[in-house]
Amino acid sequence: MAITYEPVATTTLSSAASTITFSSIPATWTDLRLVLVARAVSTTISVDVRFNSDTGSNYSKTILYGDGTSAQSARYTSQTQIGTNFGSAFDATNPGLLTMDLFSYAGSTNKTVLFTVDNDLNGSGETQRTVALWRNTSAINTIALISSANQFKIGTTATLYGILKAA
Amino acid sequence: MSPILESIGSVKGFGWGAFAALLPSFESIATATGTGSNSTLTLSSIPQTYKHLQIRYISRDTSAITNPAGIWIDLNNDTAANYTQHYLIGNGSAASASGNSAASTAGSPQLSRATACGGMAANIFGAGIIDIFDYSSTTKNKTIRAFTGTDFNTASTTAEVGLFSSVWLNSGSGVSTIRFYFPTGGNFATGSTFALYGIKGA
Repeated sequence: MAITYEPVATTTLSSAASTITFSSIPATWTDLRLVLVARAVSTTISVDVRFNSDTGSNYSKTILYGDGTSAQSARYTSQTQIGTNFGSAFDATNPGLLTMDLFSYAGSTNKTVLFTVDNDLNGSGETQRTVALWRNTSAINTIALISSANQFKIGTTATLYGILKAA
Repeated sequence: MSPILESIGSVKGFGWGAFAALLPSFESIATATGTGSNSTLTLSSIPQTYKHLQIRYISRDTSAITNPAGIWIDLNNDTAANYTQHYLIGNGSAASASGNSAASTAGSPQLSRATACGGMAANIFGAGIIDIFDYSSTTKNKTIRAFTGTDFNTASTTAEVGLFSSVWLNSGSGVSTIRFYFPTGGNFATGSTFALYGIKGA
């Protein structure tokens, strides 16, 4: 029986941190899935994502979101990261959920990524669905989750899974 | 590394029942890949031994167009008007929702509007996750859900992210064949991959 969906690595913060990084990711699987459950040290944070430490303007995204009042869409081109900060943030009390599906992450095409971001802050918050593009044909071997304002709080967890298709 | 997504809830005590509950429940079944010359991709002879199905794909249409028309899907080669659909889409400018009933494909105009085309920048693929719930039931219609998207790093509103829901109005047959194709008549580019997974119940 093939094992097709397995944990690659998990980080649970024992102290506050501004960045969570998964590195040396093997090219073993077809897709990757990352699940982040995060809280902020104080006030709110948003989360930026970079691959392979690339700080060039090689990221873009199209976003669909609902903020409790209306549904909207927006696009960002030639960004230096994939930001999940379009009016959405995690706070110190209520954990926010981010999932990221990276398709054919070890392949030789540009990388398409699907994000979900869900956070309800008891009076504010958003649910988001995003498609993002990293214009780079290299295999992804490093994923950095960067808190853009404050730090990830103790207890924040991030887990990376590998999914392998049938031959 | 340990298998995850294990079945939980069927354990009545110790012994083989407990052992069985630790078996992995997310399994690879089959993969269909584009060659640049195939106008359809088909996943057939799907075993009826799982509870749900999931398809994870990346896709590109070889048609030299710049306005993607999405990917269509039908089940068990049923091309009659036995599908309904609704969807929520963001095109970078606005969110919109629509739907239709008695369509001849699962989600006509499309289950997924997210794919890349030959007239667009090279080496970019649309991606998506499609779930078919309780696909082997012989007493219930089949519900399909998809989360899909394509981004080209351009201001074009043809790039989209979307949520789709569809029902196949067939309660008597389990899903044994899933077929994908482009309404443009284009072919699946090399690199297009539709990977089928089965999710077991407890």
